Amino acid sequence: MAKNKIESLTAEQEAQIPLYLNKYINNVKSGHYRNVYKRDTVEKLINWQYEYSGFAKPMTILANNPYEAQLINQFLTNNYPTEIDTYYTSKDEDEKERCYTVVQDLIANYLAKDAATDKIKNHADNYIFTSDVYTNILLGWWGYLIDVLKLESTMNDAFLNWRELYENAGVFNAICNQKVCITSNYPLEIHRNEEGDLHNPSGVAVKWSGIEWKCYYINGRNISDEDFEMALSGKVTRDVYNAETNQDTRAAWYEILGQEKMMEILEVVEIDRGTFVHNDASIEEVVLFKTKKSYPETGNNPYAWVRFICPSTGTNYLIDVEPHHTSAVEAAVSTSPLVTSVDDYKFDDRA
Amino acid sequence: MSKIDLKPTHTIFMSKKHFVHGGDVQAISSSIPKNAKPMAHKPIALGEKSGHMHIVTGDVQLFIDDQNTMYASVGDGGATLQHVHESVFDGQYNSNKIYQKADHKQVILKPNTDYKFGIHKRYNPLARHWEASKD
Repeated sequence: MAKNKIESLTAEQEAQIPLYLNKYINNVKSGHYRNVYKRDTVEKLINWQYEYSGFAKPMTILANNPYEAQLINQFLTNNYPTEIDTYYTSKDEDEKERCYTVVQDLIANYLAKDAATDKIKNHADNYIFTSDVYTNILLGWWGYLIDVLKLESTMNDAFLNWRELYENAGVFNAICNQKVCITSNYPLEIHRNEEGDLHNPSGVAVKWSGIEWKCYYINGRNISDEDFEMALSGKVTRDVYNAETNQDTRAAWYEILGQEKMMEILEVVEIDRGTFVHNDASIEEVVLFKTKKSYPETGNNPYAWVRFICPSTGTNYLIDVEPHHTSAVEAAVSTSPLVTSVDDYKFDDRA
Repeated sequence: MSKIDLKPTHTIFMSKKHFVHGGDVQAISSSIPKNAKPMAHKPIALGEKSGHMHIVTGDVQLFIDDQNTMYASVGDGGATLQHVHESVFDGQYNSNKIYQKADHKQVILKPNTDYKFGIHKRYNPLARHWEASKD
């Protein structure tokens, strides 16, 4: 096997990097993975992975989401059907299919009747990197090394086989027991902020099919159902907010409730008021507000806002500014993407 | 030693910047950097959930630089910064047609002038950085 040290990338090689980065994100965003998530494609991946690891083919159960997969795993553990053993040892395809149907019916009955009120008591963590959402990272980087940089290694054939199977199976993750493997589908919707972190202040950030699994996230932080829904239902009062010691929870409430509601809750005081006389002769008044107290989630600073009034609609807009400001006009200028001084902040037309 | 007269020998006329805003979008007359590339028409900014968008229509060519800052070169025919709902816009970017406004009235961009665009900023007190404000 030839050994070549790569000192730098060619322009063509560099140009391929974003394609590999985006390929797997697009497989999720386009719904490709959800489209290919079917029993036959998933079984091919799972069977390959078990055989590659020296195990017999398991019974593969397809769940809608990772939470549902955990519930099914717990249900089968506590109500172990002997058909799983028969499936595992039998060479008769008809008999295996009959066992598969029996187990599927048991699961369907459980999901329809008891699963919604069941809780996970024993979380299974026997996931494996070859059939997981993180597989995408490995396939992207290792695929780039093999396809573009022409890396030669003893595992290339296995890799290419695995990649083909994973890309056409759409498995979010898989709980790998010896005789039963329970896979999860990809989500229906994913909401992210500008930085790409999971984020949705008005509902779940990740929406799944199947048994309800509420995945609330604010700027990448997982927020409990209880905390998120408390804010959504208007139960966060000043006392509740001040009594809450978890900074992530408080930050989440700020995002969910919005600035105006938070100003009401946080006891805001007016710091300064100023006016701009613009070049079109219009006069704009701005007001700087801050909270009386400082908060740990903001680095032990107060929250600070400037109130602008839209010249077209008269609507008040509260725009967050850095907490050090004492001048309303300077704080207002700091929100401009184009000018930095009060003297330059003179619009010729405003709407 | 003779005294050096620091007073300018002639008056220098500074060309005054044309600075406007329509809602969250601000535009200022500015040269277009050499590294900015012409781009197809698209909204300058989109509302997250409202379906509103800020568009520049008329005799105008958009540019974008490697920092994703957008610019516009307005020709003889002039251009307009408009805030419209996506449902009322028929995609005629090169027309001087005024569409039904969403929230903000239209703002005129001067003929034969280049502009730089920016989105009103908001300080995120939790992440402690600046980000574009959203509507």
